[in-house]
Amino acid sequence: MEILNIKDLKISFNTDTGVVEAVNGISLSVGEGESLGLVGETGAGKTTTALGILRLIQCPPGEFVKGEIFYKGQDILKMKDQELRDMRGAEISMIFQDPMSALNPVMTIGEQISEVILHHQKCTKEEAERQMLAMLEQVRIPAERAGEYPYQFSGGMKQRVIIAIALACHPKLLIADEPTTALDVTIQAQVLEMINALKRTNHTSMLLITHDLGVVAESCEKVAIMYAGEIVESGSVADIFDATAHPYTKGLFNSIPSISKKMDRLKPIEGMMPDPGNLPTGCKFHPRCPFASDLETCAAEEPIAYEVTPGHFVRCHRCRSWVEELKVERGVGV
Amino acid sequence: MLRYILKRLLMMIPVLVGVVVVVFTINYFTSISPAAVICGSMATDEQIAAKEQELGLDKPYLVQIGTYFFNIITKGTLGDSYIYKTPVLDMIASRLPNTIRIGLCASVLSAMIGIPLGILAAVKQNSSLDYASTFLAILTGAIPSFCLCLLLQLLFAMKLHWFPISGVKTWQSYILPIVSVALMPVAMTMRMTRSAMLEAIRQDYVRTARAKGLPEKTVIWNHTLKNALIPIITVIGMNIGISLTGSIIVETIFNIPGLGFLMNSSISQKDFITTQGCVLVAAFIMTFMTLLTDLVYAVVDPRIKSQYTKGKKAGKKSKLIKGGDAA
Repeated sequence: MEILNIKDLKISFNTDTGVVEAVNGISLSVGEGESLGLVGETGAGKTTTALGILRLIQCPPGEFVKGEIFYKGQDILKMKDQELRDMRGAEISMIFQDPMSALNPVMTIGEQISEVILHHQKCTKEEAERQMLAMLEQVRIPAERAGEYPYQFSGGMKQRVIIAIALACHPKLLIADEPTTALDVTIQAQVLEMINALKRTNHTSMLLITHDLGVVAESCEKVAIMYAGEIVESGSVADIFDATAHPYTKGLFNSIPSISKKMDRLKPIEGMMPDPGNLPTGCKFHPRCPFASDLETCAAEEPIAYEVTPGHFVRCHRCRSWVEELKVERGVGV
Repeated sequence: MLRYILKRLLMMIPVLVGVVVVVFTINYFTSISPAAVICGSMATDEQIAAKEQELGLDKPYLVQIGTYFFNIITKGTLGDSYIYKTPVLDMIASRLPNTIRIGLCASVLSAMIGIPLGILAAVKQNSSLDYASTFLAILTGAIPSFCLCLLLQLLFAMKLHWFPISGVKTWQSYILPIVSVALMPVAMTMRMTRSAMLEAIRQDYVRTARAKGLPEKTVIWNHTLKNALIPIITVIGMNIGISLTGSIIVETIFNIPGLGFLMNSSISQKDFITTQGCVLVAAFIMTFMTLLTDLVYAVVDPRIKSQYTKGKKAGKKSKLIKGGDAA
């Protein structure tokens, strides 16, 4: 059963310098107990999507132009404030990108964890405190430190506190927005492992936002690649990693240094991410695409999502014609 | 913490000495001799010289200022008024309660109006409510104090007869002075609260609080305001300090025997020793309020508190944090 289903979501920001289209009609779904990795460069609209799911985007300047976000069949965008508050933190919770600034500096970490328990479970203070201490233990922070303030913790520990807050009410869906970006590599592994373990024991679904394909391979079943506010390729981890179709995804893989192959230079994707206030026509990736010159449709027409193999969608004119040719050939062959 | 307070109290001494030296020096070099003013325009030079000798004004600068400090330290007195012959300290003590009464009420009033108005303006940023309260703040801040006092007197005392026009006979007579003293701080507190709240409300931890599903009331009061308090406390501390030292203008216009009134009359009567005492007391109140403000910071923000106590416990605490990291 699908726990989260986003349909044709479009979010834009009305600024003084014009309309910034941050998210352009994305659709994705996360099944129960499943993990989806949302991958993309900085500025692709990943965080906006995540904040949109919890409706944490300030409106105005933000605006949900169109689309629906279904959580367990209920449209989040049509929820009343009270329903929304009951859902936030209890049903869907979020781990934020920067642990340094995501904790309230003037409240003890114990207070910050028990606050969410107290609010959602309507239990006594003692019960909330007991659960808070159990939660701290789960993220391996000594219980006697519950009375300390965020400034007394290191970055990795702060991120673990944030994980404890996010998981305190055993949410059904966890949105992790680059949970390891601000941490150094050894702590990254620790934090990821912890999220994965807690996710398994609580049977939580996860939307993992990252720009690190390695992280996705480690903890997700499905992947969606995001570029300029659109999902350009999506499918299972095997589809994306082994049968990479979209030129952008290929470019991402080429940008990762390989240990096994000998390489002098990395092959980065040429050019820059387009300005979301001034997106190119047709395929958003065509100015940077090494194959775009092959087809005049790239610059003119916006590609629609095309199913290459069951469950593996690609938004690319070239892939489409390529696959159709293949089908025709096969058809002839039979 | 206690060591910090003690250190700060000791640091007040050079400030106060500095204030006395500055005021004393200015008075000393003023061309008008207090003795001449006391003796009147008909007095002969001999009479003035005799008066100067009596008051100790004929002695050299260093001897005069030395005697002043010596009397403060050994006898705990600020000298006797040249004109009334009563101890300056007693004169101040009898007037200070009036000033404190007005100052405290005005400070409480300005905080009680300024903070909620500032929060409201920040939460409903760019709404008509925000613009209205900003306009009101600028308006009240822009009216000169003496002008406002006179207008209040004209309207509420002369025309409507709601309040007495001056003096301190009944509790009603305090109302107009309190309002006059409070208006400027209201504007300052409101503006500062608004900008501090706007700053805090954009922070990531406020978003975290919202993501927890907490009601907006909790988000604003517990998460945003607590973090916005430091600049608000600074402004309130300063306002209390200023209003406790007495407003010369308000006290003079409303004829309230307070510190400001005493300061004003002593200056015009060239009763310099009284002026000096008043300034010293005012400076003491001001520096003491600054210390109090800094101590309130520690209550509000645990990071600042840890700085104050650093000296003693630093070694022990850093070890604790390191130990926690390893785990």
